[in-house]
Amino acid sequence: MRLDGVAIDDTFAEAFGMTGTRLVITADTADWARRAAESMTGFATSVIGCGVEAGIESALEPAATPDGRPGVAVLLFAVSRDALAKALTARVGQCVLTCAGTACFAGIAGETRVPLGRSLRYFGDGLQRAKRVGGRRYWRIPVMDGEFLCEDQAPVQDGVGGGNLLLLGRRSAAVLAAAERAVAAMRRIPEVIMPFPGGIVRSGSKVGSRYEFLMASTNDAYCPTIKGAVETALEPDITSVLEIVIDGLTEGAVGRAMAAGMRAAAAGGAAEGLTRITAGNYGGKLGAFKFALQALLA
Amino acid sequence: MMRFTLRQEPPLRVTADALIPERLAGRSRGEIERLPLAIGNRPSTVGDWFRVGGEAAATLAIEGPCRRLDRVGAGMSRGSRIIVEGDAGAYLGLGLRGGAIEVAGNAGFGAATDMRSGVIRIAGSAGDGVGGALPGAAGGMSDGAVIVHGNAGAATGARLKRGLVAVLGDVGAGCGAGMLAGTIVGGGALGPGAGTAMRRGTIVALGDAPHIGACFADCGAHELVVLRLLAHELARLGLEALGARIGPLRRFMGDGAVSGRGEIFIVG
Repeated sequence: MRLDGVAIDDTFAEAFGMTGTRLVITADTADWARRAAESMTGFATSVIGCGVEAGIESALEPAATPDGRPGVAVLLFAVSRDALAKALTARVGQCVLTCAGTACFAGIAGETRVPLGRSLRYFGDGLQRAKRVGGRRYWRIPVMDGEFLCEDQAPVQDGVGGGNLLLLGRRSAAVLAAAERAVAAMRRIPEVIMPFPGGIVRSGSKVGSRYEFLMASTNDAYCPTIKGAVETALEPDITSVLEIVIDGLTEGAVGRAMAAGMRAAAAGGAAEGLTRITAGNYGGKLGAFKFALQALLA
Repeated sequence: MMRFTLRQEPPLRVTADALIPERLAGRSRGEIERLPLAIGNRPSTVGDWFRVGGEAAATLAIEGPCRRLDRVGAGMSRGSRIIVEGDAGAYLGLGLRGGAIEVAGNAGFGAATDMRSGVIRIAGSAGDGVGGALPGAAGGMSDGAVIVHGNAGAATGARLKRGLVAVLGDVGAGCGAGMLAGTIVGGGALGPGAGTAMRRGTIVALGDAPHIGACFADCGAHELVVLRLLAHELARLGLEALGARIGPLRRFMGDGAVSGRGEIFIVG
């Protein structure tokens, strides 16, 4: 199958079940909300090394936030509810509570919840106050610029982690440009994040390593500078491969994002330098979700 | 919708808690007219006092000279609605567990006493003890919202446990006395003794600044996110104009005579 001259492999991306949530961070200005969101979703590219995968889902207009101020929606995913709870407490505590003028709200509804403000409230040293407004319970923690208001608990839900696209091409600049187009298109899809820097990862990994202490190592089959020395998955003219990893609150959202990403990446045409789009999988034996590339474009 | 029309004003108090939609569901009009109804301490039936029209449904209307109808909507649960096209007597919505009660006129003593959930709207004024506690009970109203478009009497929100009491007009003495938690918003003047012995909870006084007791600590004027949320909640309940009056407010923490964990916000 070809899309604007770019080959789409007859393969699938294999993704895994994760536990995810959405938080809404608000502040007096959109700029300060974004700063808090960027801080709390930093160093959250992979659960392997960071314990959580997180990113900014979208900016929110004041009319779309609980307190009527500018906001940012962020998504966080972890391998378990406990791991997510731990990450939320640490990240909101260090990056949102500390950020001028912010408040933090749960961004999804649900009965399965993890502590949020109820873990952070102790920072108030006994001067914190719980407040229920409109059926939702918040903690008000006195801080030096007023109060940090934080939702008591954050609902969590089953999510999907590890949807992916591999973009292969003849020129590094062309592959990067295609990846940037793809990420821009995918960011318009709700309920997904691309957790790596700029949404793009160059160091795709395989499971395991020759070193016992390392659980993942470089995906040598897709490294162009060693293709002559290993069992490669690359054609001779491929000089660059970039990966886009997608996490989403639902399987449908991940699929829609992958389709949008492929279309946008291929829009430059094969002549630009992007020659092939494929995806990473483990033979379909490990992950609960399979995203067949050609079917997504059908 | 089923409609109950009082044939004449009862000479004594009428206990009207039989007239809630879930107790009438599945009954014919004749069966409903034969339901017992106490007039003072005398036994009577619904049909003796009301003309019953329509079919049993989730919404029920009561009309006529209703000021002696006590306990209207008492114990009603989620999904039901009662419309009182006139005044209501004492203990309107006693122990309400859900649904909505709308009163076109005034309500008597103890509206929303021991209320658990739901919404009560009173277009006129309410008597003493709105959202209060049953005699001997530690806490009063524990959730839901009561909206009084006129004035409310003494001890409004006294021993309030949770939920929202919003009064657009003036509020009598002892507002929020002994309050355990929850929120009271007063659009008019607050009487003396507001927040006396309150343990937690929030009183927002948007009218003339009330006298604040010596056991409350002045913490200065602030524009807080929680007040923005409260303004949004008032707007959601149809009280946009009241919510729009919430801006930077002066915060007093107290009552220090008990534990000092409550707060009163005033303008200025």
